[in-house]
Amino acid sequence: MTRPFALVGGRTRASVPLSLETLVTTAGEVPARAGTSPETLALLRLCSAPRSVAEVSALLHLPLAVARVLVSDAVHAGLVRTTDADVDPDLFLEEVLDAFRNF
Amino acid sequence: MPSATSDTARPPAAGDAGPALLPVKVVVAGGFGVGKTTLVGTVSEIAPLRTEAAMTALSVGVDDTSQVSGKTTTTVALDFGRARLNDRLVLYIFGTPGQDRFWFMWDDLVEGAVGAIVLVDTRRLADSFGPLEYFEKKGSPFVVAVNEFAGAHDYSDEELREALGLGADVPLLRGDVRDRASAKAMLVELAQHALRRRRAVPAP
Repeated sequence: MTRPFALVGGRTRASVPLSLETLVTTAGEVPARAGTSPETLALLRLCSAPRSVAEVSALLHLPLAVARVLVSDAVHAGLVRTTDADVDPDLFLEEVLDAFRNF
Repeated sequence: MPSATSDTARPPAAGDAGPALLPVKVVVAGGFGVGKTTLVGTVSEIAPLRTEAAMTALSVGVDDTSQVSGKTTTTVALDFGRARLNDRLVLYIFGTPGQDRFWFMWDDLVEGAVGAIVLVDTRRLADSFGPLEYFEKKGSPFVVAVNEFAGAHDYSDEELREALGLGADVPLLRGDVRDRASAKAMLVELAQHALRRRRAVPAP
């Protein structure tokens, strides 16, 4: 058993801004190259369908801060991409309201 | 404001079909035992998940670890659920940690959210003061939803507004957090309120 914080070299700050709900999606093929950590491979498998940072943390059993660093590193390596709802707030809220009405 | 999308290294189109899925975040707050986790479960299409946020901080307030000098690590559990709304949107609904002293976690939670549903138990009105004050100060849209427990005293809307110090513009509704239709009404009211607030001329 590896200590969670050892996985990310003791760092607890992600260099990419990641909200709890930021969606993480694996970008293309999962690399077979040596040196990809088991945690990164687990992340890439998990995010073959979009998953939030909170889900990454919960489903990979990693503390949130560790999950954030893992995702951030994967973004830098071009292995995943992230999506936030950074569209026009008015239009977005209208869309959300419409979706809630059909909930 | 939601943080910027990072689209670093956009991959080849393979497997990248359709418009991007966007996350929608809603926060559920309220006193301990008021039904936050139940509401999360009612809305969620998966069994609610829990993430553990390990907070390393100088002793926060007065608690059992306050006699230990230096840094302490506190684990804050956040329960959340997920519901796919349509082709484009996926809802994440988060319950706030039960204790007020985890306020430092709330900023992270509330950032980028549509807003909050503050649940109220009329038998313990004071438990909702902390959450209400937090969202008022923060300027985040919120609605107040009375979770109707059997045997609880039935106050009028006027009595509740006065007791909770709610402005006339804050939606107040009643419901049962176990009931999906109630949960839906809370979500709709919140989105309507958030939209009204955005369109209104900002107060001086």
